[in-house]
Amino acid sequence: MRSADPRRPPRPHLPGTADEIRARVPVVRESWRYIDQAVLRSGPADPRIKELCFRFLAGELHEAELDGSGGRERAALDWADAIVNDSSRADDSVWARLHASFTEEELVDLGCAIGFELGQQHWRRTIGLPARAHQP
Amino acid sequence: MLVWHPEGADEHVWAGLREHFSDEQIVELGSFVALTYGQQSVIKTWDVGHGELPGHPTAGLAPDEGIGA
Repeated sequence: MRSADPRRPPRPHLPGTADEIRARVPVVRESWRYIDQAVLRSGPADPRIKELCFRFLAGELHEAELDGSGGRERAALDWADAIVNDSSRADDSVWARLHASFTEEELVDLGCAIGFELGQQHWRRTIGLPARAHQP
Repeated sequence: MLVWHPEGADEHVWAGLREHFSDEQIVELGSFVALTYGQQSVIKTWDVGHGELPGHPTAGLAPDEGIGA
């Protein structure tokens, strides 16, 4: 496998923003717009916790930022870690904390949001775009 | 590549894609893989197997006897 030259800035393999690239196939653009509006930017789960998880997926989150954060944030991030890295990490202990912190409706919304965002970030990176549209 | 090493999708990989697919097909295929990868990653933490969701007999992970098993 060839590895990218770290001295070269990534060059997008398709021109445009993510939305402009998706617009080449209108049904793809519309599907992602719906997901973005209905799940990523709204829904029953706390949007702050979704954003925290999205930043974790992108590798933007630093441990120091979590000082003083509560059990909800920790449980959500532990779940996101299991989703990304190893599903077996979502063991009974993690699920007990998730159920103590969120309703089942919130868990469905949060989990699906993490899944959509994970796939989207990986797709963007294969094209040469940053994982997220707005980098820190 | 999209699942395991997105940055590894280099010029060589993209040249191979363009040999077989139009840009529109690449966009559609990439979106399909992204959606499937993300949602299957979540479903795995539910510990739900293929065919185990009531009313959705084909939902869940691919069966063990599938490709590569």
